[in-house]
Amino acid sequence: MATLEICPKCGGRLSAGLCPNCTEYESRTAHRDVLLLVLTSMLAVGIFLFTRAMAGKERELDTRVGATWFRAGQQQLQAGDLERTIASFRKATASDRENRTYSLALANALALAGDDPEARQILLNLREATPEDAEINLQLARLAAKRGDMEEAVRYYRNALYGLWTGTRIDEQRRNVRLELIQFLLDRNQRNQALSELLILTTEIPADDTVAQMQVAQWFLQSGDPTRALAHYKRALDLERNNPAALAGAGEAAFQLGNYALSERYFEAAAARGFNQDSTLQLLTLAKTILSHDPLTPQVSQEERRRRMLGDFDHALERLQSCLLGAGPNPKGNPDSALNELKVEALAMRPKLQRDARVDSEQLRAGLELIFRIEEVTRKNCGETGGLDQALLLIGRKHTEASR
Amino acid sequence: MNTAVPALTQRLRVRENQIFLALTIVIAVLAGLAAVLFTLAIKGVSYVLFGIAPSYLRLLAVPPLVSLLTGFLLLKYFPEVRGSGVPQTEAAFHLQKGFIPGRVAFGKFLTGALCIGSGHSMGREGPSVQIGAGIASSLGRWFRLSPARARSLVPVGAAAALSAAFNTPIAAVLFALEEIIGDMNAGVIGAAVLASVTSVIVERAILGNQPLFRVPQYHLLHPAELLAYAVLGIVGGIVSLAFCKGLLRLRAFFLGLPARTKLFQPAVGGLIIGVMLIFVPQVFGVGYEYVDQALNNGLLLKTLILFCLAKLVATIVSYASGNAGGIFAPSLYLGAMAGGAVGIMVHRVAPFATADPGAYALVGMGTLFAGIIRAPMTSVIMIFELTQDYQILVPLMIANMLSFMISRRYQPKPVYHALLEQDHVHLPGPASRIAGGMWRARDIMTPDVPLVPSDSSVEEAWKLATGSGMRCVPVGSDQMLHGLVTCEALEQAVGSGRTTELITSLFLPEWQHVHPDQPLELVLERLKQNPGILPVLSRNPIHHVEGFITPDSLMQFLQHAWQPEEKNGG
Repeated sequence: MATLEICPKCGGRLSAGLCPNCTEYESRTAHRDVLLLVLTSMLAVGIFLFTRAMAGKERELDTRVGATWFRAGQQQLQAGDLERTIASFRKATASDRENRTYSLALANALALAGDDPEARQILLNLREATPEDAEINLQLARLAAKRGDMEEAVRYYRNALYGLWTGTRIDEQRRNVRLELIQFLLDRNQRNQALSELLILTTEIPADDTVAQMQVAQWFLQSGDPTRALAHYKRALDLERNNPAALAGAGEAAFQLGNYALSERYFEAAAARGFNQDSTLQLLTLAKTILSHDPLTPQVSQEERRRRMLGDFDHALERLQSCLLGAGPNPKGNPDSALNELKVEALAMRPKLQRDARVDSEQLRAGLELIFRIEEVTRKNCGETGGLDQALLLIGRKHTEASR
Repeated sequence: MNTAVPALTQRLRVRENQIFLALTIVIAVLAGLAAVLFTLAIKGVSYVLFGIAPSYLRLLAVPPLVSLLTGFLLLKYFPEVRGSGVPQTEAAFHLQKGFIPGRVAFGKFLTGALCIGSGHSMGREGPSVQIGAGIASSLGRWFRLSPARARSLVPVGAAAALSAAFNTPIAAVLFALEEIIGDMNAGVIGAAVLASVTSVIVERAILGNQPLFRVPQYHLLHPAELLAYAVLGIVGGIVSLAFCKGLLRLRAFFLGLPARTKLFQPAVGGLIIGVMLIFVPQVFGVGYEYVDQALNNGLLLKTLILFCLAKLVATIVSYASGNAGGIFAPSLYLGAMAGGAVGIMVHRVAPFATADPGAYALVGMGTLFAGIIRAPMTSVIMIFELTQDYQILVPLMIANMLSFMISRRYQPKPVYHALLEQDHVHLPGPASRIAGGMWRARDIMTPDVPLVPSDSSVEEAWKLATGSGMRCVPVGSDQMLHGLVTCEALEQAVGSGRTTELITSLFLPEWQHVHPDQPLELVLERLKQNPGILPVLSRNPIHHVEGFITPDSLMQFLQHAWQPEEKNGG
């Protein structure tokens, strides 16, 4: 059966399998489609350029509006109006979202207003784009410190230290961050971490900056390193020999080192220059007491040594007896066996010390060691006392540690 | 046999495929550019109308005055572009073979930019979808593609525009499939992906890589927190429901007002918005900056609740009064506020560690989107695309599903479909879309049943009815069905002497109808509920009569349908 040869496009009769109308039609429409495609593509390019230009203009406008709101926010911040400051900074940020200064200002204002979670979120978003930005890391560290998140705070402080700073005073900014970190660590009693930061800081601070030297020295003292503290106080005194705070600090460092004679000299010099803080005067009195009661002080006669020894011993014994009688606070309410044992030991040693006209150094050390133990046990059982007991404790500790 | 015919057909098909591919890219670029320009235009209009720090007078006066202008434009020139644009695009795709008039894209751009830029609480994504689909439809016609091809360009344009407007290319593709086409397995998926990616590239080339929101890092801190997300799902469902019901009721109220008030209705909405802007300026326009604040824990509990309620009212008023703008962005705004509020409350009362309220705001966005828009897959993928974090998926799915289920239980019709029904357009349901080779109402109906004119008296109708031999007569005029009257009711009325009464007084209070594309199964079910006649109505406009199905027409159809089979069998 012959197949009806009809064109599927126009319905006309096919000739040799081809439709004369549609071949032409097809070629005509193909040209038309290509032409239309070219035209629409050109139109798209034109609209693209126009849209980009419009977007550029709108971005400029946004930038101007953002700047206006930012300036308004800064003025409101200076006037102390935090609520309006935040609103203005928000508008600045909404207008110019790419401006990091605005976002940072908003985060700072929010932190000032106590809205730490949003401030942190903004900073984290900023940090995502520039994790090395020191300013952002510093703000995050402060927020973590405020929150008490030690680990996060230290991490962000370190990121800030080794991050990228902008401006001309980069060293100073970095040093300030380290100072802040050290203070944070010391406030949280992290002495070892603080010490390691302090050691780095000593290489960064200028040698001719008295205030910086004193600050470092004070932190070394807080970190339990009186040797370095004294060295820095001495450097400060080299720069300002009559600086009373430096003299008092050096006295405290020398006191912690057990060099009571040196400590006394520094404290007296500080007092002579008008430095009359209670703590300093107490330490001066204590240093004087130690120096006048230490039987092992160099260049003291044998007789004097014996006299001091007996005096110290009698005082310690008296303290022990009064503690045993319950004169002092005894949490357990009954005599401690250690106290009784010490009393027996002391009563046995006392005649020996009294009997010998010449007390040799071994006897002195044994006596001092017993005094130290009595003072320690009585302190533990009957509470702290001031004055001579504290001095005897320090004398005993100094010589016992030295002999060990 | 001659092989030239299939060869020619094949050649034409290959050429059309090539054109379709090239056209997909061109459409993606143009739709992406249109979406970007639309965003810029909204911002530009807003700057021009309000300046940097607008006075109260300006806030009060601008929305109604601009709405008066847009009301005129919408009434006279662009009646198809009121509201979102998504339902209109769906209707064009399903009912008009993808035909969207050329003026629609332009009209939507103009009125949408004016309405949203003048402070109406509406979104830009819905209008972008309609603009993109309009561009695609026009280009399809210019290139004289086959009807099927031209139709399939509509979701391609929609996906491209949404991708550029919301910066989430995968979610845009899913939205086009789930919402516009209503079929996740649609064959157009490849073109939609290509268009979506192309358009987002164009958008980023112009606006840069800045995300829409500063999205917080998401953490699920405790397994029990999933219960908190379930609570968020319930809250989201309730807020979605309140939004949908409120919107539909207020819109029905506006639609029920006399036709002469149509010009002023958008301005009434504008006036209400103007008053609201004085007290809660945060409901202005799209409002993504406040979504951003909620995501970053920047709002207090009472502020979140206030913004949620104010935005709900403002969006309902803006949309229902007939302005041009979408509900995509407002649903995200509502979700962020509701989510943030739930997050803060959970944070306060939960005995276990919970994530920041910002994380709840993020999940809340998806939850409200699922509840209002009813596109649960799109909502999950959209939020996932924003966060790029797998951890969010489980909480998001729990909250979304609950919100979706609550919303669907008490508002069975999705809001876009319900809005179309208010405009007398019925979209085909899933059964009609997938009933590929089945017999449909159009195959069974008979067009030969005459309508009894609506202005007939009972007596006139009784005469016509007794001649027809039917149990029930359709009443209407100009091929528009107004109601059904049973012969029994007519007989009673005649018997009681009410012969001069109008026939409309005897209308059945409730009756069923079908659309031409609905399957035989549904026809049988509905015919059973009607008194012997089932009207077959067009989907757009809904009252237009295509034909009727009666037991006789059904019998005739069945006899014809089985005849060839019997012959083959014999």
